[in-house]
Amino acid sequence: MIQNFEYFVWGNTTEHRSLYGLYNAVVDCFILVTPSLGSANKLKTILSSRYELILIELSSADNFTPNLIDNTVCTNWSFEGKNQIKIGMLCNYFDDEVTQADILCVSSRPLQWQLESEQEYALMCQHWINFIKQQKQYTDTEKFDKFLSLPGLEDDLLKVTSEIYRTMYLGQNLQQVDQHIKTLIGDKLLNFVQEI
Amino acid sequence: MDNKKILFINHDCLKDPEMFDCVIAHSQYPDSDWKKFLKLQKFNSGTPGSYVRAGTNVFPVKNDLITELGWQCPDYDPEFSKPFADITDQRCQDLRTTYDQKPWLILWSGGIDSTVVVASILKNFAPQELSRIKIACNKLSVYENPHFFYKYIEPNFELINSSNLTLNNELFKNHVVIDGEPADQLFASRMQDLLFQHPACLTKNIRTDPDQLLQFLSTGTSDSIVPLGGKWADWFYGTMMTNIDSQDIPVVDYHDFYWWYMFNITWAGIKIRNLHFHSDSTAESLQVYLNNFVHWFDTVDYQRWAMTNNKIGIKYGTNIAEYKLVAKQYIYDFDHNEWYYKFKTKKNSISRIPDKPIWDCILNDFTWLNLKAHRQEILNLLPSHVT
Repeated sequence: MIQNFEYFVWGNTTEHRSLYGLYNAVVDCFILVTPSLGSANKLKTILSSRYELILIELSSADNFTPNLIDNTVCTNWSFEGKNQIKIGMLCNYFDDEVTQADILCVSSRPLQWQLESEQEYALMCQHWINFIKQQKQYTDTEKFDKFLSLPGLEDDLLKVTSEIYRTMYLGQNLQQVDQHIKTLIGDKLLNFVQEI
Repeated sequence: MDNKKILFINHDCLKDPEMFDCVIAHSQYPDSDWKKFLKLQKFNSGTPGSYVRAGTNVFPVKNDLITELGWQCPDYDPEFSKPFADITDQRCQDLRTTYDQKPWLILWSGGIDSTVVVASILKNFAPQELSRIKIACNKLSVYENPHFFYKYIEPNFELINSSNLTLNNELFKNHVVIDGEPADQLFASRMQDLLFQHPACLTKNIRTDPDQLLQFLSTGTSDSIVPLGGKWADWFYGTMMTNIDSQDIPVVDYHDFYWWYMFNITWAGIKIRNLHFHSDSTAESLQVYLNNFVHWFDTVDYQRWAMTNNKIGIKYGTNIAEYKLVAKQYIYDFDHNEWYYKFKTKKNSISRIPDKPIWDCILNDFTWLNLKAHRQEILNLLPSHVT
């Protein structure tokens, strides 16, 4: 059961009015749902090494209700309005295009497609994306970086963040990826944050 | 050369008012059908022209391009039984023997077709032979297939940034350039949207149950730029059926219909499409291009395979990721990447839009003409190119 996974989150909350789904057209279902558009966009990019995901706004559907879809059932759901999806076009893995669902409906996914391991990988990635986001709240130097050059002062957070994203992007084994990220953070990031 | 004639003209040029008036004045083809014929450029915008390789020539342009360059369909052999993998391995061995004098430059997009090419090379070449092979790719290629890039391409080959690559005589003097064309023509790339939205219709009979096909042709598949309309759909269906019924290769269902269009009509255009990136336009340039630009999937065996394998479970399956299934199987047998095998879908690989090409028209002496610079010469020759 996906609920028992270490990094499981339900995905839908009553606090947020919007809900987004990462739709996999091959299996005609959502791999993950999340109220965070930023998180969904990053996941879409990271998981693009495995498959193309299309960002769908679930909350735009006529039959959407806040408790309808969460991460325990999202692989059973699809949407109507697929003619908006340009399946043969070159995928821009970094665009932020969101397709609005007209109606949410039952997925046509054949039962032999087991997606729990894919969901676990996505949930793990989401966990570390959120972790990095939290760290950046304390160390976001972007405004200064635009006009200040500090030669010789390397940005550890940036380097570690980059390495974490690369690990998730190119990783295949969940346990190995998770352990590698924990090692990276244990070595560098937490110490850096603690200093601040 | 006194008997100059047009072998090929980019059909978009025929939309030029003066060119259009010229063909209407000299062609037996009805005016309204000329407009529908030129709309084919919208149906498949990736192809610069439509020339018939087999069956009755149902279009209003002559097929000298096909006959003079030997690009006809090979004879249909219903007994042909070589598997795709064997043909691919044989292709690699044949090219190794034929082109052993110069380094190879492989155009790798990360997509299925060019990954078959690289997988075949890695499978059939000894490691020490790889030093004479370069891979041209860019960041988009890596995003298409990152695991393959980092595991197999980066460690084994010299890389060239394809974003800056220009085809010219100098490049061809020093390299044999190889790409993954015309694989879309062996399969049926135009039907991928149907496989996504209406998979069950692909096995419908085009003769006894054409209504839904006409509807798709009319409204356009999702990546068509504009819906082409019911009258155009009727014309296209009727025209293609005349061609289909005039030859003996089996074309039975909706899948086959899209395949036959790609295989028969777009083949020649794809063969010369890369000339868009060519920066030289001397008469010598085309011969140099034809001698040194190798389209991996352009062999008699691949074509015979394509004619006898229009079957579910080989060319396509039950979902969009099973399009080009047998090609993906070939890659999977080499790299064992389950995600690429299960989930990779076909994408348009031409990520670099060419500048306005320096040529619009090719003559039988291989001279290249440009609409802007050679308008009158093209106008003089155009009447004898149309039917």
